[in-house]
Amino acid sequence: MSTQHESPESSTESLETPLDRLAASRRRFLSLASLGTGAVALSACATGGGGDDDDSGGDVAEGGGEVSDDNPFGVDPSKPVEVVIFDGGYGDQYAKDAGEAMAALHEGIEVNVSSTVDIQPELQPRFVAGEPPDLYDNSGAQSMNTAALVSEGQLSDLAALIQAPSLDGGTVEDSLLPGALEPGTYSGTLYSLNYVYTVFALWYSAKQFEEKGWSAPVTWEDVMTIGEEAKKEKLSLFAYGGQNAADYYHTLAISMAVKEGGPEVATMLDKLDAGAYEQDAVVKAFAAIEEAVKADFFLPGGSGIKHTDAQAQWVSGKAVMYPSGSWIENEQKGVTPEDYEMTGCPEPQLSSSAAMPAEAIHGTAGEPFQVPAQAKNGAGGLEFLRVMLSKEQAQNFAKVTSSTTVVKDSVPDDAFGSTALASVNEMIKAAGENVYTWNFTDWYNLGTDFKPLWNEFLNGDIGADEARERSQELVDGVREDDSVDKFDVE
Amino acid sequence: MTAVPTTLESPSSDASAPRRRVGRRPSASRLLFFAVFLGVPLLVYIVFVVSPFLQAFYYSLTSWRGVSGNADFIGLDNYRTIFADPVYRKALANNLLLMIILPTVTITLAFILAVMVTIGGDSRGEIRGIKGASIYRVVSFFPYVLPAVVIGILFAFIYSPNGGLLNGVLNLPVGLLNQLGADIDPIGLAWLGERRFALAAIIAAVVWSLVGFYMVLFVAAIKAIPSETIEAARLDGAGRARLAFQVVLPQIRENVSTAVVYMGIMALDMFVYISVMTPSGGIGKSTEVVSRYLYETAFARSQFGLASAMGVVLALVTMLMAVVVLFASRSKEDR
Repeated sequence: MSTQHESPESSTESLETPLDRLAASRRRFLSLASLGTGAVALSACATGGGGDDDDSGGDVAEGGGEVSDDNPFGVDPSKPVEVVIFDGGYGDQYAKDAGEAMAALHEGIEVNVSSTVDIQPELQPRFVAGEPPDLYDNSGAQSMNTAALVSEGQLSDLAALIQAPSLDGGTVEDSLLPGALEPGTYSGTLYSLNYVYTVFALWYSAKQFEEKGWSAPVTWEDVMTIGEEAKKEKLSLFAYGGQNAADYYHTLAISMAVKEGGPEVATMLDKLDAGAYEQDAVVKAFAAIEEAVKADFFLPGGSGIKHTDAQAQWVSGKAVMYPSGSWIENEQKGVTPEDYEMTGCPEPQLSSSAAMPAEAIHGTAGEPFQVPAQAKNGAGGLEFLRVMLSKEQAQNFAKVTSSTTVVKDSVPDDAFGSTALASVNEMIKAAGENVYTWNFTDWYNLGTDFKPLWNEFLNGDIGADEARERSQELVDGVREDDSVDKFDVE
Repeated sequence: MTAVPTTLESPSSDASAPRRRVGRRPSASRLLFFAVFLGVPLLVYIVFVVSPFLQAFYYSLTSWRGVSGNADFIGLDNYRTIFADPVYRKALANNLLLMIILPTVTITLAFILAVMVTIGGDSRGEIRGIKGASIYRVVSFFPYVLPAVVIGILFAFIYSPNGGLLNGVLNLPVGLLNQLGADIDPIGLAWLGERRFALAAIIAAVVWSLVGFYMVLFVAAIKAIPSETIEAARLDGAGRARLAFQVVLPQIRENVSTAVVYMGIMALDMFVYISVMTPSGGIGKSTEVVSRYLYETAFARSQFGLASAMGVVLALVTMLMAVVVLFASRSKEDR
């Protein structure tokens, strides 16, 4: 019984899209909110495993070494530090490099970085035995249920980390991008440091755009113009993987709606409001997608293929644009032609009177790093994170993985020659504080329902109105289902 | 499960003579014998087969979410919910359709092929299969060696609208005609993304993968038939079709009915093929099956109570199917 509900996401990896995995890691954490304060208070009596009296698993004890600005957690160089990394899409090289940097910082310290693809099977027994590592990356299809870990007092409060001085001056908190800490914070306590920053965008080949004389679209009208011109050249505007990733276009539609109507649109959806899908901005966004479907702007046959196939079609030049998170460059490595010059632009505005500026982006953080409350050397774990959050290591991560971290300015302007990374960097800079996201699809796992619905929509089987009505029914169903715990939305 | 009481009854009816019973006082070695050959398997069966089934039945009457110990008893509400759910009804209908089509097609094909390689050869002289029968027998078994997941991935490529093998082959004559001056658009069908074809496409893949196995099964059965019956029928002037259906088939009826039950159970499952080829249950749920929907309900939506109810219904349908098939195929003497 116990194994059943600890790995609900352990389905075959190839069938999950990266969007699913991001949603899963966020959902796990967020599902804690439903437990309420009572559960957290209870867990303190029940476990006490952390060795402190705090409700929340508590602060990390000092490491035993001398505390100074250079050593804010008092790391004792004679105590080894153990770090376990999820060896998934980002590999483990970045962590090994961070380990070396930490060893250089504290002379004589032993840093053991190991990696696994199965976090849960490997670490859960160690948590139960009270011998967890000092820091680990709770990610992947086989990750642990963060909600359960927190309610059992197994995780440390990371407040000390973000208040500590950064290796580059200022505090760690100041060095992070806006919104970076939100996904790891529950009831005001930070339990996870989500290291990777994901920007959702429309992706295209800068080379192709230059050849055809197109420029990056700002409004939906621009997108449709490009679609018309692409059609003349027998190209499709969009590709989609209807079998498992049609919901990428739901993400695009909601993103456009939020830009059009402002963050309140996302709030209404997160609240599962009875009129969530009747909001003007949402109606417009769905109508816009329908317009593209009716104009035959989607690559034919999308209903029968998966996201990998659709993305291969897109980079091979049969479709012009693809909406996705910034993992796309890394995911398509080896498939994308060398001179493709993959570039992203913010998801378009529906009209020039949109509530949010064209530069606003849909961004969120993922890849949660956690310090176990029972760690032997929790201070070492925090120090490792502090090293990872230094500009040098963040740049190294960007270089090794072509992905951005939550650290500000961690990508040099040349972006190591990656056009995709450079465009992500530019989008983040241009957006400033204009960053938005929403949670209802992750909280209530609606992706599962939106996939088949959007496959029908993009295939032209149903129109925008029916798609909205059925979406609203799904939202109503969750709202009226008493067995589903709801999340508070301000 | 019905096998258990019968095996318990039959020895007791043999040993009805009281005189012999005295001689069979339970000795240590006899107790050990019973413990090992009856007790252990029975225990394993109860612990790993019966108890999970009972547990699933219990959960199907609760609103268990799978993440805590709370499981409120809600009676038959879950059953009402699933039968009111159009997706579940569609999934069950697809399963029933598969249960009829898959065994019929696979076993008919397998039987015909088996007949070809055993008695389908030259009608003069010794009874033998067609030329090269031994090669066909080996080759046709190859697909069965591949795991179902691999077959699913393979056929997803074959059915791809973009450069898939099937469209490629269909486009060969189109290309030829276009060379001759015709102007026909090449076929770009998404076989797995079309309501009309998706389920049929998956059925074709499953048949391809399993027909060889059942053929080998039937070949072995046909070889075990005394050749005199076939020779006698041939001397009396029976043609190949008559030989196959009126002489061979009745003599391998047991094998065929077992094969039908196996195929039927497979058709009621289909989890691997469906979730690899159409991960969300296909467009408009055209290829949804109970096992995949159940998995989604339990592991993605965390509604274990509801999923258990779906599983219980599926188990009942499976048992019913097995009973019907085995009863229907019993020979007249057995009845």
